[in-house]
Amino acid sequence: MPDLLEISGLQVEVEGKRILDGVDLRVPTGEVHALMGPNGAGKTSLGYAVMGHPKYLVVGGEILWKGESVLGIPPEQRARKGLFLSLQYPTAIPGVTTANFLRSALKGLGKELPAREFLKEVREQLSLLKMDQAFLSRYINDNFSGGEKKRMEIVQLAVLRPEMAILDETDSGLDVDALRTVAEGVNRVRESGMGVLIITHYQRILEYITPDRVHVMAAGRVIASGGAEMVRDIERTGYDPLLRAAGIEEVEAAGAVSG
Amino acid sequence: MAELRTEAAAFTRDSAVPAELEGGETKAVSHLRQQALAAYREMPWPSSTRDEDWRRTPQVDKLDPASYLPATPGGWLQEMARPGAMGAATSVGPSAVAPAARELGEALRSEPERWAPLLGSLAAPGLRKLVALNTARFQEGELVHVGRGEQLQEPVRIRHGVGDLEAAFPRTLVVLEEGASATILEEWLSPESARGLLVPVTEVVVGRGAKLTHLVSQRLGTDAVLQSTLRARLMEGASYQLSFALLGGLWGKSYLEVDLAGEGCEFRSAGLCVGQRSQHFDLQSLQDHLARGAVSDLLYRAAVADRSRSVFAGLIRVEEGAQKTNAYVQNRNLLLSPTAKADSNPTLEILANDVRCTHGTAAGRIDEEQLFYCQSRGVTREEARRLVVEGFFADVVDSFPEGGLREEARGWVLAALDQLARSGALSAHPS
Repeated sequence: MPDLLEISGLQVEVEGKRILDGVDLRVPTGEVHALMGPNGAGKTSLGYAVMGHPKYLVVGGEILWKGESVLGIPPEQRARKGLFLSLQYPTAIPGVTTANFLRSALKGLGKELPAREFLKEVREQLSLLKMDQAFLSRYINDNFSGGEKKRMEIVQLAVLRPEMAILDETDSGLDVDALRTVAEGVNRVRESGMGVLIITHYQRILEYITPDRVHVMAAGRVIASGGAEMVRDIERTGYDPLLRAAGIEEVEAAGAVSG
Repeated sequence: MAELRTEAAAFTRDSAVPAELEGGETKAVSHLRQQALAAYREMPWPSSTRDEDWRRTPQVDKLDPASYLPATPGGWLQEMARPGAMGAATSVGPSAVAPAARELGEALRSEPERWAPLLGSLAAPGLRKLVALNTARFQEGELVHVGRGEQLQEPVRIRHGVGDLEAAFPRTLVVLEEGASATILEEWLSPESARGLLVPVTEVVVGRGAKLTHLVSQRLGTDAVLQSTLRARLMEGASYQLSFALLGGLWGKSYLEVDLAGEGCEFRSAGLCVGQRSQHFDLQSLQDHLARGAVSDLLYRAAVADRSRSVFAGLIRVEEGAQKTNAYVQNRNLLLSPTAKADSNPTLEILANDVRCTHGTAAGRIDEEQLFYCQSRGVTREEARRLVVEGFFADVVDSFPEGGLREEARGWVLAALDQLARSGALSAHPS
């Protein structure tokens, strides 16, 4: 059986500048992987490229979803195949309520629910994420605090039920309580057999979610992979030994474009 | 289609034959007609090169009333019953007129001393060329009169329209006496593809402490031309909420003018426009602060697709002595195609020194990150664009009169967006 997600030799450019330079990464069905690395390593870009953001131009390599290429396929079709990307900075859409947004998403995914069931489901997820029910009628991410946006991403993840979620720095900007709430949310959906790729440059969230595998990115490619124990090693020594082993001299050289 | 008539034109750019109300009219009214005729003859036809008001609407240079026939009263409504003639109107609501609304002609005959002096008191014949023509030619019209302290529970529905090759000059007079309250829906309609000219003039008096909620819905067919004037006067402590939706027609110019004449009165307005094809919407508003401590707030949102164009000029004028004025005018435009255009010109003219007045304007395109966000959650790009446009109008629609009317209005907006989607205007362009 092919892996859920298989990225090989992926090269990506943004406005003519090489951001990803030969990424290799596989996430088998039902596994949770962590993607770590210093700022500017290309982690966020990888998430965008996998989801098909038009600004991230794939110039080489391959992204396979269940063995089939998703290159050239628009983001909504990737979502329909089962992919989900939780954004580091979720976008506000003024005038579009959370309820309306989620309803449109479910419709687009072909998972429309009867009105009553829909509301019940969203209300339940809101309370699990310790969010006020009033968020249903608020405009999505509009004037939300950073933490509220992150929690709303997990609410969406739970309602939309993808087969794989890429969580981009979902832990950043959260206090300990919020972090735990979000991590619990992720662990709940994980139990349903979802594949997860957690992008982070802290170890914090990984204290609550134990990954099956850990990858480290730098200079636009994956420079090391290993088991969960890698998280502890990185905590102890930082990224420098890994960077040196990969022949990367300075973190700064890893790329000027953030993420 | 109206039958061909051979007699001399009832109206040209230079002159007009004054009309007469069915059932006859009193001296006061025919006197007003004569005044209007004189004013009409005196004023030159508007020109996009000479008149600042018309600078961005050169269509007026080719408009000629002589190319239209006088409307057969109610004829347009029969035309609309034809299959497929509904167009932007999508539906014509239950037939007009609650008890508070009377036929204007009847009111002018039975109580001439009461109503004739009010006619033209806000929109005087000499105000503008097309107001003069309306005054000389109006036949259909309504009077909405709400007596002192009276609270109308049901909305009053007024609808005016025009048929193919016709020009219609409907006239509406709204009078709310002290402490009265009412909600009015005024609709401007025409059959799909009917080449008509609609020139409605509406005069509104909101008495002391009275409260009027007014929703104007312009859902003309694709080929109608609109020349509208709405003039309101607010007395002390009066409150006037005006919502409007400009959705149909070939091109049009709408004047929307409010005198804040009484201390502490309040005018709140929110409106929207959806432009497609080569539609052209010209809106010119005036918030004229004449009295102390009044509040006015106007928000206008236009989304223009294809080769359509929105032109907005909004003036806040604060007269000497209108201290403690609080006034705001804001125009937001969303450009849905590279060939759509929006011109926005909000201005302040302040003659008092203790006031708070602000204006704002913005034009933008749909944000690519918003589209990606929607798409990444499974929403197609086209649907995402629609969602964003719908969101663009949300605060305007949410400010529409609560209850059934708001839902009805939401329906018109959604129908216009459906039409946009069907025509490919939401998918044809990269952004």
